[in-house]
Amino acid sequence: MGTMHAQVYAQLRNAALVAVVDNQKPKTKRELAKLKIDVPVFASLSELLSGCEVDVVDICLPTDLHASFALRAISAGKHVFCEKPLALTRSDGRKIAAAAKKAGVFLQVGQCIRFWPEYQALEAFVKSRKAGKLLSLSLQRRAGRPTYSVGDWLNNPSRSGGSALDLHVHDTDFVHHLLGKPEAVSSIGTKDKTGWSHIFTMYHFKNVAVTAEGGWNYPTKWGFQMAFQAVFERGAVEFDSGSNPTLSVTMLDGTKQPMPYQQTDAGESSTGAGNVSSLGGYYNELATFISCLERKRAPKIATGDHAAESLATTLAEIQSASTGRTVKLS
Amino acid sequence: MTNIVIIGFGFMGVTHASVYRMLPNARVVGIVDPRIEEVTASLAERGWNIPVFPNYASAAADCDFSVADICLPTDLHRDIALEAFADGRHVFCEKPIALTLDSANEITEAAREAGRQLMIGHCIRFWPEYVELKRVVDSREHGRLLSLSMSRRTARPGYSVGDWVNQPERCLGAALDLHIHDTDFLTYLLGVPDSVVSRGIRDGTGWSSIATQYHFGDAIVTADGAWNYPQHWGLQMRFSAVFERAAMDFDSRSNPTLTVTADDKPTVPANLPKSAVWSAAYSDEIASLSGYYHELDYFVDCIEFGNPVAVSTGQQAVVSLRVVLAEIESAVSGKQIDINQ
Repeated sequence: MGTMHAQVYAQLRNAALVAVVDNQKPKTKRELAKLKIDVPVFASLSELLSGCEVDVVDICLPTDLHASFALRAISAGKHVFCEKPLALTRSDGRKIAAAAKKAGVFLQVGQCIRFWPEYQALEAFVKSRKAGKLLSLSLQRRAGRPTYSVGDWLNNPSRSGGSALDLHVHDTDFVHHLLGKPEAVSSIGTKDKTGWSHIFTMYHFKNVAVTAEGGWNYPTKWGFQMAFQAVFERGAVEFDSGSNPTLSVTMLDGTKQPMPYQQTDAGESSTGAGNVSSLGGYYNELATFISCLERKRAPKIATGDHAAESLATTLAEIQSASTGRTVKLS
Repeated sequence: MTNIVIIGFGFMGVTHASVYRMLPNARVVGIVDPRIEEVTASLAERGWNIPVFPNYASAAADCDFSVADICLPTDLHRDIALEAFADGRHVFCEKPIALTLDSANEITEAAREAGRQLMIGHCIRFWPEYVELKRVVDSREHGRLLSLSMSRRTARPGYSVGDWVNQPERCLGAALDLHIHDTDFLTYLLGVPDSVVSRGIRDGTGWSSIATQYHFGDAIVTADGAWNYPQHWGLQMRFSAVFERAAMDFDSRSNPTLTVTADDKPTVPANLPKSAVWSAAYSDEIASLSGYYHELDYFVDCIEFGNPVAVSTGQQAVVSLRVVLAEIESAVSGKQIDINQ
């Protein structure tokens, strides 16, 4: 994620990457050279804070390190962009969100699907009511086993929270963004040594049927797919990252058509890491965050509170899958 | 040669007649349907020379047949089935077997008392991609089945005679008419689940969508069915199966429809059992009759050779109905429902 963010910052006029923190200095310097980015590398956060003028600390570390680094950056008076999930536990999530507010610094979390072009298009379509009320929404996010993470931290559930927290959280968070917090969740899933490697969830809402599944227990060569199907009173919208076009709409009397949507000019990542090469959603979220800082207006989308809430719901899904019972959300 | 009278010449009646015409040991000798003029014209259009009768009794008086094939709206299954068994016929009955467990049990009991064969049209048990899925699950070729998610989605059917599928007292909506295919296949594949959690959408025509989590001992299973898609959206059936060492994906709208990603190899088309391919008269959504062909082929062979029907029996259909009714109860109550064994 660090390399993805660096590529986005290189495209933003009003942001400049001035340093990188990584305890593997030589490897990091080689990565930066490949991206043609020339900035100093510090081996620790404290060295950075004493050696460099920065406004923002962008945390792209394994999830188990989010809380300590975010809290330290916040207490040093820095604005923080933190990758998702915000943390591994409810209390850490709440702690980080509260600390940022108390310190008067801005905090935004990398829940990039809120900024992903096709998902934004769905949100706009829902709000427009062009096809009437949303009746049902199904979301999928599936991947082959991740092999690309540093020290294989993703496959260590005590570091990543497993696929539920690292992959599926995107869809739980998007459901929150679109529809608010559900009343309850019912989940079932597959558990293995990497944690909950595949989870299926029903979100309990009064007037709309919402389900999502997410997991990375597919063979590595299977690849990656994110998708959704939304049924309205008078139409249906479908997204499939593996299709071309990715987004289509079928209105009541019509046939399936490509659905136009707002794309970014951000281009593709050159590093080939992670699940998606398009920088679109990452560009949108970081551009939005930087713009908030410029205008001195606190972030409104993917805030610390938003991320803490969707984290809590995802943890409730894990609880539901563990117990085999529906879990009510407070 | 097995002689058959088809009762009800709507969408399924036509489909069954088309299949029987492809089977060397089956012959449709009569059709029962009160819409005499309409059905006669439809047969003439197809060049099919089969007499049409206004009711079962008149067909029974005039035709020499051993099988009654019931392709009527669900609420009419029970009465005709009982009449046919009392008359000494074997019965093939479309799915779902009935709207209530009482009616379903009456049908199976009537078959037992008459000593006649009964088979229910749960055709997905015979659909090639699903047959292959069961083979892979049973053989453990790729290890244990870890999870299975199934989906069956379509536009609201506009083709039913008198629009019976959109009348809740006749049909119970997508739950019993569409989604039951997947519940039935799941019981075939994995047995009866311990409990179900379902949520659905109801409108004036009954259940227009339902989604269920099935609690089995080890495998993780979900299935959803919906017919609230726009008119020209078509039909899609799907499943995704994850095994210890492979993943299988089926999408009726993809080409190839079934793929497998195993071990360290890239995704490839999966092998399918051979099947007959035919273009449906009514709907371009169903391009292949294969599942319908195989189920009727199997049934006719059972009748001809006197082998008891073992797949998609009346008893099995009662079990599937019991599970779907529990799913509906869960969707209505918002509670997890235990399935009583």
